[in-house]
Amino acid sequence: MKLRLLLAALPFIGMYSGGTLAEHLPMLFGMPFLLSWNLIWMAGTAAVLAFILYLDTRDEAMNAANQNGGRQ
Amino acid sequence: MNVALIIIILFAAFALGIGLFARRGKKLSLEQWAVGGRGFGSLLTFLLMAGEAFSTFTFLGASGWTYSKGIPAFYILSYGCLAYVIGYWMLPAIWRYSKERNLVSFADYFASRYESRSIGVLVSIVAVFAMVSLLIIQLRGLGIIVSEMSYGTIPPAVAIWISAILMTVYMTVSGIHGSASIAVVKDVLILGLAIFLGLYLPLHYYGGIGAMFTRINEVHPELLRMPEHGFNLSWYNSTILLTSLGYYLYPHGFTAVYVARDAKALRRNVVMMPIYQVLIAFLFLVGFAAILTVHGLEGAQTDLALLRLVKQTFAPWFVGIVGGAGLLTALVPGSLIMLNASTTIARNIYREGFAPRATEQQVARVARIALPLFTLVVVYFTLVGGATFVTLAIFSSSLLTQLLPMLASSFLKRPFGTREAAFGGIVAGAIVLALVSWRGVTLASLFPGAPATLTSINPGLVALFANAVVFIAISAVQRAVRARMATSIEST
Repeated sequence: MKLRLLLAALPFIGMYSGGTLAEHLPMLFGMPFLLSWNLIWMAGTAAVLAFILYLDTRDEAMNAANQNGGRQ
Repeated sequence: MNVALIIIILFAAFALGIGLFARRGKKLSLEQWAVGGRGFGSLLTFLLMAGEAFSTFTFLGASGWTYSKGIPAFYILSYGCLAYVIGYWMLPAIWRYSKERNLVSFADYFASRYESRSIGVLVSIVAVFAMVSLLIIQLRGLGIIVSEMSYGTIPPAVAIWISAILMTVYMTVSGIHGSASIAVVKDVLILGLAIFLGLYLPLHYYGGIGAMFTRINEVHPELLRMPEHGFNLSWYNSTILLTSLGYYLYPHGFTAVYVARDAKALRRNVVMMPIYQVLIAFLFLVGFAAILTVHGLEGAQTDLALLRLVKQTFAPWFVGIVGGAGLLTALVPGSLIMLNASTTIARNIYREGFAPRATEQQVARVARIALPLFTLVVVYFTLVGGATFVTLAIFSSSLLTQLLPMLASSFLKRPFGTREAAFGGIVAGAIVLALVSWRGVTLASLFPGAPATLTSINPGLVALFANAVVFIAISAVQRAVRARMATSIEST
C-alpha cells in the first residue's frame, strides 16, 4: 500500500511544481512551459494509475489463488 | 436556409433517433431508467463520465479562457488528472456502498451514510438548485452555438426550446440508455474535431505551433506569463486543488459511478481518463490561434472565440459539422442533469418529504413527470434571466463542493463526522460563499496589506477550509461529550 501511495503522490508533485517552474522557464518544446509540462504529467498520471491497477489486479489474482488453494 | 443549418438539423434528428432507439426492448424500472440497471461495462461508463466531464464548458470555455486570459487557463488540464488519482480509490468505494443499498440519486448516498433524512433533503435541495445552474449553462451554450453556426438564422431562444424538447423526449423514453448511446457518437466526433482544429488552425494562420507561440510572444507576451495579480500562480494552484477535490461532487458525475457493472470498470475508467484530457490541450491551441486572428471579443463574448475562428476559416458545411458537434456536447450532459434532477425530486424530495409509503412505480412515475417540468423551469430562467435566481443557482453549484468533508469522512473505516457537524460545516462554508457572492467580500478587502500570494487564493477553497474546521470541531466535541457520558454512566 505504501508503494501505491507514493506513486499516487507523483502526479500531485508534478502538477503543483509546474506553476513555479514556469516562472523560471517560460517555454518548453516550442510551447508555453506549463502546457508542455501539464501534458507530460497528464501522460504520467495515466501511466502511474495503469501501474497501480496492474499491481492491484496482480495482488487480487494472488489472493484469489491463495484462497482457492486453502479450500482444496 | 443554408448548408450549415441543414447539417445541424440532421445532427438533431440523428440524436433524437438514436436516443429513442437506445431503449430497445428494455423494461424500464426506475433503476433501469436512471442507472441502466448498473450493467454498464468499462467503455460505456467511460463515455458517460467523459460525456459529463466534457461539456460545452470544455468546448467553448477552454478555448475562450485561453483566448482572453492565456496561461492561467491551463488549470483546466491539471485538475482532472489529480481528480482521477483520488477517484481511483474513491469511486469503487462509492460504487460498492451504493450497489449494496440500491442507491439511485446523488442525495441517497449522503442520506444513507449519515442515516439522516434531513441530510438527504438538504443535499437534494442544494443539488436541484445546482443542477438548475448547470443546465442553464448547457442551454445557454447550446443557444450560442446553434445561432452562431446557423449564421443567425436560428435565434438562441428557438435553439434552446428545440433542444430542451429534444432532450426531454428521448430522456423520458430511454433514460440513461439514451444519453449513453449519444455519448458514443459525440465523443468520437469531438475528439476528431478538437485534434483537427488544434493542429490545422495554428498551421494555417501561423505556419505551425512553435511559430504561433513566437508570434503571440511578440504581440501579447502577457498572455504567455502568469500574471502578478488576479489569476496569478496562487490562484492557479488553489483553483486546481479546489476543482480536483470537488470534481466528483456534481450530481450527474457522482451518479455516473452507479451505472458501472463492477468496481474494475471504474478503475479502468480512471486510468483512461487522463489520456482523454489531451482533448483540452487541442482546444487551448484553438484559443491561442484565435488571439491574433479573431478581433473584438470582450467579456462573456470571449467564449465565441472558437466558433468565430471556425466561421472565418471554413466553408459552411464544415461550420455545420462543428455546430452539430457543439449541439451534442450540450445534449449529453444536459440530459444527464435532467435525469438526475428528476430522480432527486422524485426519490428524495417527493418520497422522503411527502409520501414515505410511495411504491417504486409511483416514484418512477413522479420522476418522469418531474423531468419535463424541471426542464420547463430551467428553460424559463435561461431565457428570462432573472439575476437573483441565477446568482442563487451559481451559489448552489459552488455549495456542492462543500459536501467534501462529509464525503471524505464517510470513507473512513470508523466514520468520524456526525450529522450535526455535517450541517454545521456546510453552513460555515455557505456563509463564506454568501459573503463572497453577495457582499463582494474578498481576501484582499479583509487583509488589505497581505501579499498577492495570499489574497489571490480561490475563495471557494477558503470556504472549504472554514467548513472542514467546523466539521472537525463539532464532531470532536460531540465525540468527547459522548465518551464522557458513557464513562459517567459506567461509573454510576
